[in-house]
Amino acid sequence: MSDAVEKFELVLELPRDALGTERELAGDDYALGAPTDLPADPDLMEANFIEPVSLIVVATLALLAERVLHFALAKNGQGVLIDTRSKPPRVSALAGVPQGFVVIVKANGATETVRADQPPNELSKLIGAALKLKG
Amino acid sequence: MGTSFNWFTGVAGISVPCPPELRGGQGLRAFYADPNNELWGPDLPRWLYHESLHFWQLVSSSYLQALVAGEWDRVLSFEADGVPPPASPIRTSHARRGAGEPFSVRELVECLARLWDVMTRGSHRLIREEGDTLQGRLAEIEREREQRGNDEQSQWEFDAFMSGGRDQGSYGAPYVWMRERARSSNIIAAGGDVAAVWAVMLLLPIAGRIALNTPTPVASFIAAFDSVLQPEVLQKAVDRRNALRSIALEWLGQWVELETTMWRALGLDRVPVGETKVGVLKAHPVYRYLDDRVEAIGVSIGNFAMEFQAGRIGPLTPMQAASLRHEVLLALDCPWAVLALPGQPSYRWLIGGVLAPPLTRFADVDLPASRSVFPTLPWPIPEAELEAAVRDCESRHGALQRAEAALKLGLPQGAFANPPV
Repeated sequence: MSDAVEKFELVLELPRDALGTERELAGDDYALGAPTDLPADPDLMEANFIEPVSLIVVATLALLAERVLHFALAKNGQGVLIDTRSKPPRVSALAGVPQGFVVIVKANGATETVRADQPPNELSKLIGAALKLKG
Repeated sequence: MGTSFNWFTGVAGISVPCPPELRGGQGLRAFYADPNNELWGPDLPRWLYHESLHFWQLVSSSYLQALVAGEWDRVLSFEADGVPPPASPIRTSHARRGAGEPFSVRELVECLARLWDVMTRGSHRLIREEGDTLQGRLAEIEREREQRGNDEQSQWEFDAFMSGGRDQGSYGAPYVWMRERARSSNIIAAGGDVAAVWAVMLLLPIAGRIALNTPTPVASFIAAFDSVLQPEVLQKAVDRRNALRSIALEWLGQWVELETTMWRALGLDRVPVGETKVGVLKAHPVYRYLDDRVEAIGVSIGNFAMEFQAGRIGPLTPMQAASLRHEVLLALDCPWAVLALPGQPSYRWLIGGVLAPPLTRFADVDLPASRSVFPTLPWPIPEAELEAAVRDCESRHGALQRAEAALKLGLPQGAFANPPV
């Protein structure tokens, strides 16, 4: 069934610590590339050291929406920024969006801020519209 | 996603469930008494210990208290006029290396915490838990350990974990700087790498404790460290090494003299306990009670000394009895050393019974500090009030953070005003 669903490529940024869980979920609908280190953010004040990484991901819209909501609601995590202006689009759990929120930056630079306590299919529609995907 | 200690709210976030054994009874005291017990599972020990260490650093550091006080002033200003004020200079400089400085204050704070991670957890456990190759040194360590026939931690292993373990970017720089600096001393150079690692182990907690009680921790740390590398001072420290070559006994036996040398080098006197209370945090909803907790540490030390003198601690081996005698003497002479040496089991027990993080947030439950204290030394407010104070603090600081985040992303200030619960 998943062969019929459109997949797309994106750049995912997240703490290295979160990679293990994502690898466990990887499959046909959520393929993960090798992580590349990103520079650490000196503005991060929490005592824990966040090792930021970036990786190429090929995913279905439904799975991406599910993971975005997971990141945004994770305790001690951050919200998620989805920037559709980048090629490929950038999905970052390290961009300083507060926990519990998803910010979508559309192709024309307009932003849409949504709370993360909503069903994945609703977020799917919003991301799909911003990316102009069929979903 | 990860674990953390939030300096501003006192919440230690631990992203695994709380074991049933820590929920009631002694609370986290049971963990601090026996942090490597397998009951706690594979991940919890190093995370809970590390985040607790940061809270203990805050309690014993005027610099970190000033960092929090500055941030709390911003919260009050934001509440008064609705405008997020700029970050305080101490906050903006905390994680950045100053001009010509080899590391930042944050790296120093993490390096100090890493010292106790490695000393208490032990490298043989960390190898398993961190899954790191130690920059290619792991295979060599395992070979050497097999030849030695035991799991004991050598100085060489300690060096590998302090300079090249997982997340080394957060703590490695101060350690490597110290090791290289120590090698520049002729006395140390004569003893080779082992001597350099010994000097770092001995001086790191003492110089770190002093540095974090000055307004310029990195410069103070360097001056304090260098003061002991002076040939006449260092030779004395070498001559006083104990026959067992136990670093724990060296800390206990040499603390007062080395600390005094370092304070003098900075032109300061040893700071008496009563003068480093947490007055700057009087307006903070949670930390306003830390004065009470610091006094409780003093009472706890007194009780500890009485128990020891009455012979009620034991049974002890001769070695344990000798160590305990040093621990009692140092705690009485320099109570802050208790917070600076949490690797000493008796000190960790003393601290743990008074100063668990104000709220420990496990994946499945929040544990307020009042659950973990010695029954004779309770928090001055009831548990429900403590939990409410922490949540109040989170909510008020969170409002400022969300407003700042919105403005930084070019959004209206109120874009994140109503987060999901």
